[in-house]
Amino acid sequence: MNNHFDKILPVFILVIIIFGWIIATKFFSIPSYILPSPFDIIESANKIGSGFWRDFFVTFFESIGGFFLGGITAIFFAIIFVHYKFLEISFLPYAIAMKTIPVVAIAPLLVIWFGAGILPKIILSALICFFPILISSLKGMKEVDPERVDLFKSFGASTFQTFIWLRLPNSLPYLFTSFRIAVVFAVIGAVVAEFASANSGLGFKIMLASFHVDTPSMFLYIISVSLLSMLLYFLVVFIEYVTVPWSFSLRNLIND
Amino acid sequence: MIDFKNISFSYKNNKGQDTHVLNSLTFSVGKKEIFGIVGPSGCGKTTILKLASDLAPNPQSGSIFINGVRPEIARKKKQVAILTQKPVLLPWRNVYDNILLPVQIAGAINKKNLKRIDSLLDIAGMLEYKKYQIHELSGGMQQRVSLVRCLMTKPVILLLDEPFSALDEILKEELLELLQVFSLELSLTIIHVSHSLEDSILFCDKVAVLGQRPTSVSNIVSVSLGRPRKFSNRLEKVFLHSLTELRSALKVGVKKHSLK
Repeated sequence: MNNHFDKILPVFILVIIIFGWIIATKFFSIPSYILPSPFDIIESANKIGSGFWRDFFVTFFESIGGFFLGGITAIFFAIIFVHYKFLEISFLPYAIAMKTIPVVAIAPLLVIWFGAGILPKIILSALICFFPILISSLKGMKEVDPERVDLFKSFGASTFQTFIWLRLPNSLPYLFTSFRIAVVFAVIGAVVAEFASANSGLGFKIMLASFHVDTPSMFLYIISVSLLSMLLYFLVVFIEYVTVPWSFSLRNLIND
Repeated sequence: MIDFKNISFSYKNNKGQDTHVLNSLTFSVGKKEIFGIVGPSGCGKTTILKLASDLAPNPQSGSIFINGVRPEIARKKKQVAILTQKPVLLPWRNVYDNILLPVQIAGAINKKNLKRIDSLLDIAGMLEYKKYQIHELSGGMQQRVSLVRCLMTKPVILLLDEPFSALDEILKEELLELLQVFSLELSLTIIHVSHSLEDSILFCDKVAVLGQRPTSVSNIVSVSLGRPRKFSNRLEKVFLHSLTELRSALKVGVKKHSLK
């Protein structure tokens, strides 16, 4: 009973917020360019029509592209760092330093280097995804139960066998935790890059709507960015559930 | 079969100081013997097993021979297997794939080995669970899977590090029975390390008593109970006599070290 109530509660809160929002915009006569009502946003969506999906998918592909590029690069570096300690010592501080550079500051630079196409958006998304995935995969590959390492040693496993059958699967729960964070970051990266220079995408449309003081459209695109992030987040959760079910069961055990 | 001669072993702790664990430790284990080692917590019992299985650095002095060869050779020949207190299973593999692991590592997946998995699982009463995920098994079942996996490499020596300590009475008795079946059928020589005197007497032919760190063997007690042994043997006079003998040997051993 309690469990069902816990699940319904957030939906109930959302209904209250939307209801309160409608009441506030109606009764306090707030102009739509300051705070549009949900009806204004729906009307704006109707006006935009199917063109919306083009922008949605542009940002979607930029985010996914950045996520994969950043993820693959981070995992590659993690594998290198795990096996060559001196490379980790030499390069990890720079990877950490890279994290401190604000993405908004890099976006215009990437436009100069790579033009106004899809590439700088993917690169910016990749940069923002890189760090959390690198740190998590490093942790997952390193923090292996010493008894498991001993087990592999007692069976005479080679370094490669220990990596493929122990370190890599051991890092998967850590990796998926970072994927959940990184995939949301990837959308932020793509949107920020679109702010710098673009001719399509949700970020570009937010900028365009702001120039025209078209607040209902801005709300529509901002909500779409959030929904896109949520969609990708749950996609990662679903893939984790399918591919790493034992991680889910372990987590449930811990929660119990 | 297993010879530890004048073994002294120390390691550097986190502060860089030498921790002296074993001091002139000497004992021998005969073929097919079940040899117990008891001693106070932290005295170095697990270290002995790690040295025998080549999972610890070489001792500072003394020599170890496993089936006539040094531990690193015995490990390479896969003559030694170790079963730890906590079953070390891989949660991303099911029961069958966990047991297959040593065969995969050795690159020896063939009909004979695959058949061996089924026959060992059958003896362990786990055949019907072979497709189960690890988290679906009880602690006792996981321990049995761990044991079966140990035996896949066809070891001649089995090292047991407190295998009963995390199990309840019923599971303990099941594992005791299973270990005796395996030791007989596979002609295993076993070293069983435990802090439980009762478990040691019930399972072992001889029990070596260790003192505090740096430890050495202070006494060896023989147990003359017949086999197969069951929990009901704990009511027998021979068991109680051995228990008293072992308890007093342990007290003397600890005292001796305290006086030193």
